[in-house]
Amino acid sequence: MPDLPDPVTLAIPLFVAFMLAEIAAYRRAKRAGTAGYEARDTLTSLLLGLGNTVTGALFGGLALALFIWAGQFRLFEIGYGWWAWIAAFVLDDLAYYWVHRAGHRIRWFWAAHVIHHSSQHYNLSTALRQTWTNVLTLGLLFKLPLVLLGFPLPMLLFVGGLNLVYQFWIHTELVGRMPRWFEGVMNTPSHHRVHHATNPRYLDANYAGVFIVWDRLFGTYVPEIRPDEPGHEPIRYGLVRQLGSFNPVWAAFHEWIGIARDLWSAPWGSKLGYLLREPGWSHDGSRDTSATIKAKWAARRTIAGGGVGI
Amino acid sequence: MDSPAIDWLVLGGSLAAVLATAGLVAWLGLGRDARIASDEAARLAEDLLPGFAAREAFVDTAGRSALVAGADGSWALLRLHGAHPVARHLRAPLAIRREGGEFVIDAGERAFGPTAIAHDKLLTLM
Repeated sequence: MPDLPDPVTLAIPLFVAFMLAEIAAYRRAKRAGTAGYEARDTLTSLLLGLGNTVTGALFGGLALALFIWAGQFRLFEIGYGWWAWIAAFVLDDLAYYWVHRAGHRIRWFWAAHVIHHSSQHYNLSTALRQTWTNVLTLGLLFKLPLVLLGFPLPMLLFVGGLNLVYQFWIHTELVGRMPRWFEGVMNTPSHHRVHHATNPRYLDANYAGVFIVWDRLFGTYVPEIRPDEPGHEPIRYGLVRQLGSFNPVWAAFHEWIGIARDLWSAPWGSKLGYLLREPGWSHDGSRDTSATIKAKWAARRTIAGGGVGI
Repeated sequence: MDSPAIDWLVLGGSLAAVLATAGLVAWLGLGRDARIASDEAARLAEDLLPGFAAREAFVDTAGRSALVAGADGSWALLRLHGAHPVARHLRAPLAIRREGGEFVIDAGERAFGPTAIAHDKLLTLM
């Protein structure tokens, strides 16, 4: 069994260098009124990233133990052939798409993932704003099929790390669009800005990690409308109900607290809905989901356009 | 008991790097010049609160915050959170009090905190 390095650990100097370069670029643009970074937001993002490494060290062993145990039931002995590396990378990214999509459509999973979306900035420090509570979800089950297929565990850990490293650079507003062929296949800053946007037209879209083809295939792809294109509107980042707090502990746990309160107060027949339905769902329809937000936005546009409102 | 999974030296170094990076951003003054403009508060309220239709906006004289009256009698409370605005949808009656030369509105959320607005016309709301 090869002793593979952790790509994320190896990439940390690059993360820091690119972040400093981005900060320098915003400093140069400051006279133009750009606010790409803000000190308290950056501190919160980086503290959440640091906390993620701590919780990963504390609880990552549980996932590892599950995968090692499941490995005894593998169907094939895939080994380390060149094709296996490619297949593992692509299939791991497919698994990432689905766990990420679940992270946005199931409130239980969203409670862990919401941290990553809680900044109103979209910069390279936002990429490092990572969850502390993955251990409380079953997200790792989405990758279990790869273990059961027979991909070696070190290979899966390595390609999973590569996937995360790739996703770092797409968290920036400083890159417009990449060449057409690249935008067609790969996840890019343009595609991922849409994913982090709270504008109704962009909600629940572009769940890809590395390959945007999954969104195109499964019907969740939404293109960004650039400033020089008709219909452009400035992107607002963060949450549809912004936190309004820089407290990293609140950012890490607020949705879990919200779930606990709802589970406590909801009628018995509705309790599970607050855990398993989409974020914003409520048994009496008093809250907004992405679907109701989109509907209200569409109604407002119809009225503003002189048509008939809903 | 120390956990063997955590290298405390690396953790301490990482924390120092985090503080240094945030300190650099603060030192460069990035994101400090944000303001809520009087002609954008109503649009901001409508953008940030789904379904909210603005009628009249009361914007803080320094651009830190705003209170926007809605067409249905509800209110949008806006304030700057770092470089970007955050909003809360409030129903009447507002929890508003006067402190010195400005008005303080409580959104009813501890994490969101009270919002101060300096605007003469708010006196009529008390």
